Order: sequence, then structure tokens, then C-alpha cells
Amino acid sequence: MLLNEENFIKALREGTNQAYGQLLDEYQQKVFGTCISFVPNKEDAEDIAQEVFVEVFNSIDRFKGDSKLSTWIYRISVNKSLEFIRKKNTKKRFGFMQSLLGNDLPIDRSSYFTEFNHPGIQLENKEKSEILFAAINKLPEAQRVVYTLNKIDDLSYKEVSEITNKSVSSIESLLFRAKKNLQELLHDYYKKEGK
Amino acid sequence: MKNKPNIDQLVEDTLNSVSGIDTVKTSPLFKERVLSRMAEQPIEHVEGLRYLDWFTPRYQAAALICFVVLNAFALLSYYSDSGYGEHVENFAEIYGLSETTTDSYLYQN
Repeated sequence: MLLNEENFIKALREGTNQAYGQLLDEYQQKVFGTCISFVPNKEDAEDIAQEVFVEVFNSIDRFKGDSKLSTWIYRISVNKSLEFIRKKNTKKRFGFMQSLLGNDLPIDRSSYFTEFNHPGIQLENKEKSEILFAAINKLPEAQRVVYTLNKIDDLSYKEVSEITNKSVSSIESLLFRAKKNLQELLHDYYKKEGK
Repeated sequence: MKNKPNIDQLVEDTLNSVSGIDTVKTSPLFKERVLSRMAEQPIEHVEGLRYLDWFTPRYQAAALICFVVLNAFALLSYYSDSGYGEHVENFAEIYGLSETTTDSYLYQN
């Protein structure tokens, strides 16, 4: 178990190798788990997780202690993952051209921002998961964050509410809307695919 | 009609396809790589500015709005004061700073 949180944060501020070693032992799996939930590609998720720890190292002086350290680290993980997705989406998507040519598909797996490579997904579910991740990428950001943290990263409503700074009831409502939108998107997709 | 339950079932299956994701472990060298990246980071000394930490962008915006509103209010009240022009004229006359017809006449000669 770690030192008590206050002393641990103090040790992180001093920048000791031992403190960061402990931080990595405690959080590397959690941070990586969140990153791969947003970005289903092992290499990309590892790069983002590295960025998260470097950000923690650089900004620990600005951590005011308003939330738990774990919540703060989760927030950085979510923000770094979203930043990565935004960057990749703008590179990959030619939204304007597509809308002009009428090719703007509701779910387009070919223009997904990364190569789908999630080793935790069983082979028989791979195709469906790939479609689902592409559909999640079409959701508004607030719904996408809440759905990913709860359904993919398997965090509780309480944890999601702490990370996103929203009440549990707004989390429930965002999840409800996300699921409804996903159902519609998937329905349209399968209808077009002629299944 | 026949396809509808099929699509509904597919949608449900797709939504449930992520319910049993196995934990993915990080690479064995992940920790070492992160620690070496941290060691490469330049050390930032922000201690000197920490007393301004509370002055977040939200407060900065509020301060700017107050500044603009107060200045606008001051300018408005300054110009809407009807006695202002008269006072300035009196002041100028007392100290011989006003441009009168006599002055013009004197200058012309």
C-alpha cells in the first residue's frame, strides 16, 4: 500500500524516483486501461499512457488536492485520450469533402482514427466491437466519455461522476442518451449493410 | 418485416460485444520507459509564481469585464455631465487660455 496520500503527493512534488516508481506500480494498469478503452490500439494507448505520466510529473505542483489523486490522474487520462482522438480525427476525416460528395456515412469503419487492435477483445466479438467503437466515435463528446468510462472501462457511476465532475443523475441520463443514439446508429448501419 | 428482429438482435449483440473485455497488460518495459522520459524532462521552477495560482482564467475574465464596465461608466458620466463644458470655458477664460475675437484681432495686427 502507498504512503498516506498527502505524504505521497509531497514525495511526488519532490520528484523522487521512488515515489514515481510507486505511482507507476499503482496506476500504470489503470491509466493504460482507460486509454485503451478510448483508443482501441495497444501501441497508441501505451503512448498516450506515457504522456499521462509525463503530464502528472510536470503538473503535480499545480494539483490543488480538490479531488483524489486517482480522480485527477483519470481526468488527465481522459483528456489525453480525447486530445489524441481529436488530432487523428481531423487528419483522417475529410468531413467537408465527404458531405459534398454525399459519402458521409453514419458509421464508417474505414475512416476510424486508428487501426483496431484491442488484445482484450475475444476474436468472435472482434467485428462487432469494431463496429461499436466506430459508432461510439460518432457520439457527442460528453456521451462518448461517460459511455466509454462506464461500459468499456467498467468504472462505477460514482467514479464516472467524480472524473467528469457531474452528478450521478446526469451520468445516468447521458448513458441513456448514448445508448439510444448508439442503437439508432447501429440500426442504420445494419440496414445499409443489408443484414 | 422479417429482417427487423434480426437487426434488433444484431444491435443488441453489438452493444453487448464489449461486456467481457479481458484486461490488457502494459508492455514489460513500460515503467522503465516512462521513468526515463521523466528523467529527460526539464525541471520547471514555478515556486515564484505560486501566489498567483488562484488567478485562474475565469477570474482574469471577470477582472477584465469589471475593468471595461467601470471605464465605460466613468466615460459616460464624464461626458454626460452638462456643466462640464461651461466649467472648462470659465476656467479657460480666467486663465486667458480661451481663443476670443479680441485675441484674433490682436494677432492679425
